[in-house]
Amino acid sequence: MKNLIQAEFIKIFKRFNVWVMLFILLLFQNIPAIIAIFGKFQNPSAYYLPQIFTTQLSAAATPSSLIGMLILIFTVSSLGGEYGWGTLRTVLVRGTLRRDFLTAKLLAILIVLLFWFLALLLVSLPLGWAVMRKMNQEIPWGFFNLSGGLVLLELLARTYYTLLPVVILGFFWTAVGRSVGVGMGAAIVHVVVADPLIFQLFRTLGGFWAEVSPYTMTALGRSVATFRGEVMPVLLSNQLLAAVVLLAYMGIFGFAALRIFEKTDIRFTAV
Amino acid sequence: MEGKQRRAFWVSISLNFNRLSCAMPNSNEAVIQTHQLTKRYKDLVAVSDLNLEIHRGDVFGFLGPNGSGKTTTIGLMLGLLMPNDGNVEVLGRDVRRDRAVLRKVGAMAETAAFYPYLSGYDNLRVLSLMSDVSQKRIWEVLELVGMKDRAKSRFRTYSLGMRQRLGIAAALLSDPEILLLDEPTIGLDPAGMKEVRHLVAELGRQGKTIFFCSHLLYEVEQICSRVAIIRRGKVLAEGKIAELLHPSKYVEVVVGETSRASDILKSVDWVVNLQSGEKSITLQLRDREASEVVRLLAGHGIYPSAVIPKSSTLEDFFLEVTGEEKKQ
Repeated sequence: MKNLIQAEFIKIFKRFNVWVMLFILLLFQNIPAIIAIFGKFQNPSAYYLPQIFTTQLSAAATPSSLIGMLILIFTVSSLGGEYGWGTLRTVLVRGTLRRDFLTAKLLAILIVLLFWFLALLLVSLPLGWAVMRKMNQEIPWGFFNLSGGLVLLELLARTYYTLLPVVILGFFWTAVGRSVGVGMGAAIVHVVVADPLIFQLFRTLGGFWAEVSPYTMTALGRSVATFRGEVMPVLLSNQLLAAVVLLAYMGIFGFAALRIFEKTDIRFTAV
Repeated sequence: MEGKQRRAFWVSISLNFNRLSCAMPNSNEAVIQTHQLTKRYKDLVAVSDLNLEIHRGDVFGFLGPNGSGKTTTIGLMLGLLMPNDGNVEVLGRDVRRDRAVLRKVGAMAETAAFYPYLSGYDNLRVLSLMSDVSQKRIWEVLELVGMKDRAKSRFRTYSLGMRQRLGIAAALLSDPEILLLDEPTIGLDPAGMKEVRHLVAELGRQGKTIFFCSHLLYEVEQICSRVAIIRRGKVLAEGKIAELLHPSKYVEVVVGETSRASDILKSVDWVVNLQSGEKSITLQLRDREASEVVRLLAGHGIYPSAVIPKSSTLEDFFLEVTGEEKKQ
């Protein structure tokens, strides 16, 4: 498994698109902070230290966020590219188990997602400092201690957990479609359109449907990662239950993706 | 490839063959077996009840027209495609149940497929991590196929011939016991084709078992010990080349009056595939000897100056076998 993950890292880190995605993430996620530094911004306090970390993570804490979309594109292109280039053939004829191959890819992508989060937080540090200097604010150095670190770690873990289903769904739809195009289209429709639409539909229908609406994936993610209640109201007060149900969703789609990947033909261009 | 590079390629082949480990040929041990193997794509039966047996040390040619089921058979052998019926055993183990056995197989299924943004070296590095192969071995196989100089260039910049060479290098990476090569000479220039042909033949002599698909019957005839001819997913003929190429029934009749002689020969049903030239006639005999031709023509006052048996080739045999199938 270690070798398979290492092989994935060679493929990932030598791919130009991955670095472009990271650049896009860091640039667009920090545009408000950059505006606050170089121009006028209505609510600069959201970009003060340590508030900037919460701001960044809460902005990332939905599947349809920028980081959610980027990791979805990354996941689908990572697996779908193997179908498109025909490299699945080259890799799987070496006796690698399909299950191991998919697991290694999943773990490598999750590590990259973590790396993106860390890069985001790392860049937030000087930006928050610069915003505070611009607004003549004192740096709250008291935050940078163990308890502050634990708070940040919890926020990071919650946001990270919220985005895991995006990776799983990316795998599922790519395994179904066996191409980047189909996988990307289906996964985006699922994450951005269908799931929020079902959530809204259930709430509109009222009664029983309104009661089950918090158990849709989008709503569950929101419940798990809600740490700015004023922006996103808590839908399911029991966050542990929300996390467990979300885990069940991930298990179902993950298992289905694995079964489909294991049982379907790796197509050839000629029959 | 330039002249110097090609010479270096040959030197490297002779040097590296000594390093390749090999098993002693044992013609009785079946290393690949297919049992009633069947693959359907909706209404299309790509492979039907296929029973093949490839023995250790065989250089086995797998022939068939386009769409005959060759690539599908290789896909089934490598566990890339799921059979509807039957199974494939490699070294006595079912490939669907025990994929680890494929670690002893090197394969190039269809055209060489690699990550386009990675260099040739990095592509092999990725594969070497999956097969637990040393970096030294990567350079060995790159040298073996004459790709050492372009190893650091991106795969997308390679010509078709270079891609095929890298595909062969990948197949040889783990020094496998069995090689499955699907049209490995596609895209190569004549010199490259010759080099690959020599490489495959030499690997066969070293004791590797090679399953070799090709459209080029001439090269199969040169390097393979046994062949199977497949059409519409069914094996039409299988066996040692020497045994399959039975004494030819093609003869060339050198005669003065080719036009009248042709008319006479066309009138009998045991003469087929007649082609009349300026000074001679080529024909195929069905269940008759060449002396019958002389007797027939002499009966009409035409005396051939020579009747020359034409040597049979694998191509003749292939066309004969697949032609018979067409008539059925």
